[in-house]
Amino acid sequence: MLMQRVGLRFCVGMLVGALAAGCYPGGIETVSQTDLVATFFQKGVDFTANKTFDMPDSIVDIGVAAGASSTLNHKYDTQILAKIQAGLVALGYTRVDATATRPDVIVVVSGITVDNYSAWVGYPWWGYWGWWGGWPAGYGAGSTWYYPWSPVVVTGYTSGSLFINMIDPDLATPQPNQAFSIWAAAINGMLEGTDAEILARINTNIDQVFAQSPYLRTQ
Amino acid sequence: MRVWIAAAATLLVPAVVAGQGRGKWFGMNWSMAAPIEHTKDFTNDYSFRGMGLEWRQFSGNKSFGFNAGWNVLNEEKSGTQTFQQAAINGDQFRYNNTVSLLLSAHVYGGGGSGKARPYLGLKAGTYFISRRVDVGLWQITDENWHWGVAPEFGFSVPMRGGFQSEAFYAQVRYNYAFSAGDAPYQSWFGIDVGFAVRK
Repeated sequence: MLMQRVGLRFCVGMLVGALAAGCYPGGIETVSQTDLVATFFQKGVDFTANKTFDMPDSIVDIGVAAGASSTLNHKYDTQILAKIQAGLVALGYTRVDATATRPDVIVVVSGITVDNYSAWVGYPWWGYWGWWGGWPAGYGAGSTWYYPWSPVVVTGYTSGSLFINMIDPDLATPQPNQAFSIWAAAINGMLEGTDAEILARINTNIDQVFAQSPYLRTQ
Repeated sequence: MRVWIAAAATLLVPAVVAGQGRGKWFGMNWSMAAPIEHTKDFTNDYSFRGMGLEWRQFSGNKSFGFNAGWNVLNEEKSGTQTFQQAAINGDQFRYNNTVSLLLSAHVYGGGGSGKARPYLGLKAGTYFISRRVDVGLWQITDENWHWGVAPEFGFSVPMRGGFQSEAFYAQVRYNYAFSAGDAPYQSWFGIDVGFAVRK
């Protein structure tokens, strides 16, 4: 009887333990599940007032200037920029040549492949895009960003990130020599898989950027 | 590993009980959880993951004792969450890990020898609740100790034959953990199915 009792209790214990621990909840299983799309905008801005835009034709690697090393792959810059332009055009914007016509907004795109970088800091950016001929008067060496949502949103990034920034040169900023960002998007995810797979995920996420920013429509 | 620990714990039951004399009751249960209100807002799914250990000291048709429990709730969801000036899209993995340490008091209804015996009880004590969200490559965790109370009802069914000291039991408990830190109050129904030894 003692052995039977021990056997019974052992079996019950095994059963309870198995039921309790047998299917511990899982987590991220695929690389695409690490993708994150975040968008930010300045409240009160009338986006319908903006009809035209221009953008520099390159994606700037902001990792090095932030004090870290970066291995940003520029192989697909052209496709990514074209995708972003197509998204803006689909929302009703018209691209103009800023060297000839002052655009309502300027869109700049940057990327980084290092860890723990805060995107929304007021670092000087003139060194990256200063060469571009489309900047209106007033911007120059030492110009920084003005993010209306900062420091409310502190953003730390790991692995690969792509940032899209929409600047309204007509808005006054709290400090002189700042560029007023009225909208920004961040795409973040693990850089795993083939280049084509990564590009496909970036394209999907750029679509998501505009899908979750319906207020950007020009009408 | 948890399975072997649980099995070893049940083997220790006779020694624990024998050392305490008659009127002692020791139970081990599989614990499920059905979240409601704030807890359901965070993790919506019914949970089959959990276990509990319980000790009761009898005096007539009443008992007092101690209960330790563990429940894991989780939910996977994807979509866009909007905030005042922001929107975030990504797959979210939410987890709620709860460890409860509760004192208990029970009163038992009739039920002759070898028959099912109903009981009502009230438990009170502390809940350690860890709520975690994994989204993208980010992880946000909120951990708090909550005071809480848990009324419950259940019944035990003694085994027959040579197993006079053993019984199966089932109980349903409403857990209410008061707000703590940044976490609002948490509540869920616990459904336990267990095995007990009485001396």
